[in-house]
Amino acid sequence: MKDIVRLLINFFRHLLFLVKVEGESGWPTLVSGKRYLATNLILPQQGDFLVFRNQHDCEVYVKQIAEVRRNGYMMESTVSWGSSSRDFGMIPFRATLGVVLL
Amino acid sequence: MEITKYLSKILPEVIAEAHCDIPCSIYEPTPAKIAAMTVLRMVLQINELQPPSGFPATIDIDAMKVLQNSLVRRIGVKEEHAQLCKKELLILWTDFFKPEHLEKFPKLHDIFWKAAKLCSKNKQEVNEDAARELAAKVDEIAKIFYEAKGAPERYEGYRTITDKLF
Repeated sequence: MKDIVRLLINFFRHLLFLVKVEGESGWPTLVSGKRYLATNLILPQQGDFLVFRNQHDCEVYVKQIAEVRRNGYMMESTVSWGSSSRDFGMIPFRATLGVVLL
Repeated sequence: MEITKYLSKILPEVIAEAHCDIPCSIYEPTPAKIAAMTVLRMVLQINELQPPSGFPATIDIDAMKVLQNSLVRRIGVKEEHAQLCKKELLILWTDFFKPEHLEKFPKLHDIFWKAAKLCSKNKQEVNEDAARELAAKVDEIAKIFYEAKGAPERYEGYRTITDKLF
């Protein structure tokens, strides 16, 4: 019962939420310091900016989806000096929080 | 000590200068190359920074401030490291190399002069060619340096480390 409640809370918490961008890896589409609406009601696709929790450091990131694979997403930055899946690996579907609405 | 005072009145005197206050004999072109590569990296990033989305049809003041901040920071780092490169090269030029090196490397002064000029050019401009030219000139100096030290094989190690900094 507790697990179901937790899942439901998590689901509704991310129906619509704000994400504050920090850093340059989404430039020029995402501006550091600005807030954007995000939702988990949209199925993420290549080119979308995905908000996810990095399994390695448990931090929340927002990056662009380079490729959708069977088990997750390969992420990239829009600038060459940003981190990507080359650094932190593929992001599993369960780590996603939502897609940025632009 | 008194006797030398009197001897100095009758004997010729020569002055021996040390090249630095602490003659540590530690010289290395790697810091100059790291500085040059930092200049190049900044130039590449500056060139990659696009205006905010929607520009110029719509001007987002906050986004423009973010862009300006990003540019100014990189320009500051470029300036600082071009100057650092110049300083490191000056140390090699004035403290390490000696007159006898000129016999073996007659173009030594010209190479250093051109490298110093390139440091200034990279401060003045956002110029990828000039940045790459500076890194190449530092490599040229490094090759001479390791040969002058009698350790030409160290040049490959230097290139291995400094070429792949980013």
